[in-house]
Amino acid sequence: MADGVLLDVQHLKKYFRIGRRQMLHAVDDVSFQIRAGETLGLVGESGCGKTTVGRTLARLYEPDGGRILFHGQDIGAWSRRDIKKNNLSSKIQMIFQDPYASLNPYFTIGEIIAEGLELHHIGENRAERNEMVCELLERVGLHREHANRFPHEFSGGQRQRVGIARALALNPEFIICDEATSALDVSVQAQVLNMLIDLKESMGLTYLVVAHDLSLVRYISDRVAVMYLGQLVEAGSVGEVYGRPMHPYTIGLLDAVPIADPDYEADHVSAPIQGDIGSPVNPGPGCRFAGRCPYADEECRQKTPELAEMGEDHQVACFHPVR
Amino acid sequence: MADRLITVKDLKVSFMTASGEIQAVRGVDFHLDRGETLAIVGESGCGKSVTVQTLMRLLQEPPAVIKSGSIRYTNGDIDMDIAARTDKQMRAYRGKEFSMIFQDAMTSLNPTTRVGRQIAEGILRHQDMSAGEAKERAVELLARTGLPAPETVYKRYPHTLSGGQRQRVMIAMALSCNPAVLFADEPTTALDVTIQAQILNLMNDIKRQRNMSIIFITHNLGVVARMADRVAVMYAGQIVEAGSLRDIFYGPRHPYTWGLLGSVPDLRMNLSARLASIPGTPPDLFSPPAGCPFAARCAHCMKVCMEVVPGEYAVSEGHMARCWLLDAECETEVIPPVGRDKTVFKTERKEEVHG
Repeated sequence: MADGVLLDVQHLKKYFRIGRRQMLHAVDDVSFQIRAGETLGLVGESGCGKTTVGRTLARLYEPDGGRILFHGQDIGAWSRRDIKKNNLSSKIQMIFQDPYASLNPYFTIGEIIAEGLELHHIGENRAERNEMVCELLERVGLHREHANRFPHEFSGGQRQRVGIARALALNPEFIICDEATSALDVSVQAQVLNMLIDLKESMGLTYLVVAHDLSLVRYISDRVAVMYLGQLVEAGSVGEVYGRPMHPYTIGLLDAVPIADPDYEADHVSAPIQGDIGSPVNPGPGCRFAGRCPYADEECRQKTPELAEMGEDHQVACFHPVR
Repeated sequence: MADRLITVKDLKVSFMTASGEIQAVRGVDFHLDRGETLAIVGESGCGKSVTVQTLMRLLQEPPAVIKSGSIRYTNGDIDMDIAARTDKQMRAYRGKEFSMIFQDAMTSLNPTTRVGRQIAEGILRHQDMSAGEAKERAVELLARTGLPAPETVYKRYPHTLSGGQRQRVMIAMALSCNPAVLFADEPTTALDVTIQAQILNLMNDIKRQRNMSIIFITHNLGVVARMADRVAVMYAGQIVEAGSLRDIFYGPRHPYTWGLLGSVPDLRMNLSARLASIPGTPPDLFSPPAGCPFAARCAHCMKVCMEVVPGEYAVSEGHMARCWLLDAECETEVIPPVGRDKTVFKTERKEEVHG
């Protein structure tokens, strides 16, 4: 194992049965590594399986194949009892997209944040836990008085801060942010993104950022992985993947993003990828993108390309990478 | 002189709720010419959707009330004040003079009716056509929006279509009676970027071919740059800045516009740049502040800003901003954070490295 790798995902698979015969291949043979202290962005369009990857890593879903090595231990194979015994939930935490649905409306903010502390027997008594809650609230830019209020009294941005405080409560090493800011307005989104970056620096965290917004992922991540219909098509450092994209899908995806610069847009002729994203149900052989790809040939329809090293920290799964 | 279709003057719209009056739109003035796209940008709750829905009189009244103002619509023989019309009178114009596409095509289409019939319905209402001709026209419109096998799509139900396909059906429906104005309320927000790019291209093609006018509501500044000719920035029920696309992106004068442009990550910003964020949250429209609505969040707030609402200051021909900093008596000198060469001013913050 390479130095400093916190999470090593190998050939991860997660299928969902739909109906009697059909199998939805949400995540189909996905491998990547995350080094301690870095942020990996996982991008793709809706239905590509990015959220399923995040949830499987947090063991909210049972993996159907592959290994999830966390500190070298295969947590994918752990039973519920192993997870509890090893306090996995205190090491891996998740921040969810919808700040309205992910906070229990019957609990006060203080109770929501303290719940994990109680379950993990952190803090001697209630008073000590209350103090910890207050410190967490201040850390995410809220006030200690907020502990006694209920979620409905807060705006979306404030609720997302509560969700972050809850994730931080157990001092995790690894946080999965699943579209953590996509429900927020742009000015509030910037506040939360900057806070996530600052918290990462000050607490030595490692992030997996799952998002559909390519600009946001570029802003917050060190490395990035692009998913299409359950598989990784391209991965590498942000500079490489955004600067020299090689997979036709990544190129099309980046080309489609409108840029807030009128002169650029006036000169830019957008040639969007045609067609709709395919179905991940019972996929046939071959590259999943072949149906929409301008370069697809017979080989692409027969064989599935594997991620191959194309440069320094740059992997592409394509028979005809664009150089 | 440009062919003016819509002139809105001092429009105020409130919602009368059990817990009080929400002043959603607090005096907006704007206009729309033939063949141009006006983008209204702003964050949720700023009143952009309410403004546009008032133009078509789609709001439930009550609770919504037009408190004041006029909406003059002129096109050929038609010259009317939409604000003074009744719902019944408006029916003759909806679909024919102006139509609307919404963010969520799934809830805007009738789930129990085949999409083709839904399109033909509008044609039969406004145009003198037989059922057979209306069907032909509907298939033609579906084909025009780039849907493959339009005859088959005609017979399908909305739930069998993908999000992008449904939005194309919505566009076909909106165009069915050749409206002069198309209102688009976040039409691509629910779509993936590759599909969004397809739909935006389609809208631009259609606009050019038919010399149609579009009012485009969005919070996505990239989409604005791709679509708009002119831009109005809304905040807390008011238009705080309006101007040409280039005015707003290359020479913005209102601190809220600066904040908005600076807080959105961009594919071309320097990798080590840090986003500017606007502290705080928008004001409560139950009791809007006495002065400038942005004062509480503004880094350049002065005493007068908290007390008196700023008027419109002309920056240049067609470019105005409502900010006390532009007043002749204002002594505070604030240099707008305008970027190097032509770039968006946000990228100016390149030197500010985080971490």
